[in-house]
Amino acid sequence: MEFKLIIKKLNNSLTPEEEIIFSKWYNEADSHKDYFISVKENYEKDINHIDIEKGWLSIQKNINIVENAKKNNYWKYAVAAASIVVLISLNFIFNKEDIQVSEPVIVNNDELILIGTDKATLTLEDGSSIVLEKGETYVAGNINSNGEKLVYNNYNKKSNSEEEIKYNYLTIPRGGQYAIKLSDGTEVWLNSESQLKYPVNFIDGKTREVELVYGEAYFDVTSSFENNGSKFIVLNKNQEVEVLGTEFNIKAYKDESNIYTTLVEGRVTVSNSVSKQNLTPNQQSKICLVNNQITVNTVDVYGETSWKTGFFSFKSKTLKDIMVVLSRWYDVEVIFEDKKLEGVKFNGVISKNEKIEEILNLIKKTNFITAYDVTNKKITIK
Amino acid sequence: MNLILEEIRKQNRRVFKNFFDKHYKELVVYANGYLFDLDSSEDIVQEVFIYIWENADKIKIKSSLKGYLFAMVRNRCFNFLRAVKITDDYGFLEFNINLITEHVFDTVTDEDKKIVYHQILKIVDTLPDKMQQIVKLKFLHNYKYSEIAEELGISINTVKTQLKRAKLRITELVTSILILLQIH
Repeated sequence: MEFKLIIKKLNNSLTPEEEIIFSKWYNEADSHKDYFISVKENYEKDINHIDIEKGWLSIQKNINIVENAKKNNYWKYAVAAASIVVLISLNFIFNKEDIQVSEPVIVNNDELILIGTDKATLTLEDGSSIVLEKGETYVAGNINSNGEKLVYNNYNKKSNSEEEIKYNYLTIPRGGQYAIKLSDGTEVWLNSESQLKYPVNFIDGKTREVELVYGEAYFDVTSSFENNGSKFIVLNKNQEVEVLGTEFNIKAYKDESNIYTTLVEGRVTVSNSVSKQNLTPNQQSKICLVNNQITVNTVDVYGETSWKTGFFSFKSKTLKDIMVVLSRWYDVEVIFEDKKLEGVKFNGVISKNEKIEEILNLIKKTNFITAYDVTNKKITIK
Repeated sequence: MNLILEEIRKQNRRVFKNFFDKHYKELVVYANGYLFDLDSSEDIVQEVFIYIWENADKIKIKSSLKGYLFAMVRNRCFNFLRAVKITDDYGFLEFNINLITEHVFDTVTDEDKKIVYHQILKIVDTLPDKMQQIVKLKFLHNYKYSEIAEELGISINTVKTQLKRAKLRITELVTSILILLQIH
């Protein structure tokens, strides 16, 4: 059995097929159980202390025995015994079989569901728009894009306060993602179905302000120290986040009733019309739009921000929430035929480069949903 | 000709003891990366030292005695894993061990390494930049802890801590990528 399955077992992430392989291995011999327990207990542990003296004594003892009496053939027997075990186990390893339980899936390819990609629309101060796409470069004045990231190249030349501030918008459609580097060096990664409003130039000495109009964005803000003390504020209709140079993620989708701000590094202050909360790394604030309450929890930051690195990570998320995230990336609509399925919770990590069918098959493999069908970019979960 | 081996052949205990003192700990940590059991790891490493003492005459080494020592420990660990029917085709254990020990295997070809790395590459790419850099220097370029520390201007302890964290994150991701699991 692959070692990987032991780790998966420990992480509770075996598939049903793997669970069968694992149990068979586990119940086969006590030595297997012992090994599993050793891995379980020590995998994440560091070795605290290794007693060199004791080790040496034990070697000395054995060397002396050999010197004193030639009868000691213990090691040879041990080696012989070990090779017999090896021969037997090789047979077992080559005998494993894969068990597949499958039901046909109905997929009508009227309109193909594509994997999301890098794309966005840039709206300039005069109202004109430019479509940015993977593989297409765009250069104009101090702006350029390589098809994945838009860069404003006037890092050191800030406008003075006399000038009127010009704003641009970067809009990410469903099925898209894009990154942007603002003129102060701050980097922002935008998730599907999001919009960012930002000044073309920041005014020296004035607070830097951008607005996450809607959607999800990860900010890596250059410090106020590098910007003559100017702090950075991310506005949204329902909240304001004040930062001094740090990394954090804001999720403020139009169709969700909560706004989440997750702090990765540094310190930020989240406020709305009612109250104010400071966040320390690994904390997430949640503003409930119904009653404007701010609550703060410790979360798995890596999971919350994994979308930026090409993965979706779900920890104890309901199928409904998972489908909302997937529907944005694959630009599909998801319908639950049986509403009860919406609340089923899952753990898992999915690469953003997978086809949606692969992911649906995975969900189906858990035997919780019995089938799904895909018609005209509409997925029905049964 | 290897001077240490030469002395061990002459049954020079002092040289043998020094040689033991110098490598014992590192070898135990190494074996423990496969066995996850300190006692068994110590046993295996002791066996290897005893073997070298008893068979110094027969030992022919291509590179260094230290490399030979690691190879023997590794073979025994593999035997142990075979006995409990564990395989590591994915190179998962090997990769982790590479992160937690200084020793780099001459026997692992660059080609093999690329294959292992390619499987894990996608995951490494998702680590924070600094952690990623350290993992790459260690795994792809065989840098020592001290060399990584110098290259990046950070302390050796930071290097070690980052590698340990990388190991845990990679573990988490390797096993869960493309995995959705229903929980109750």
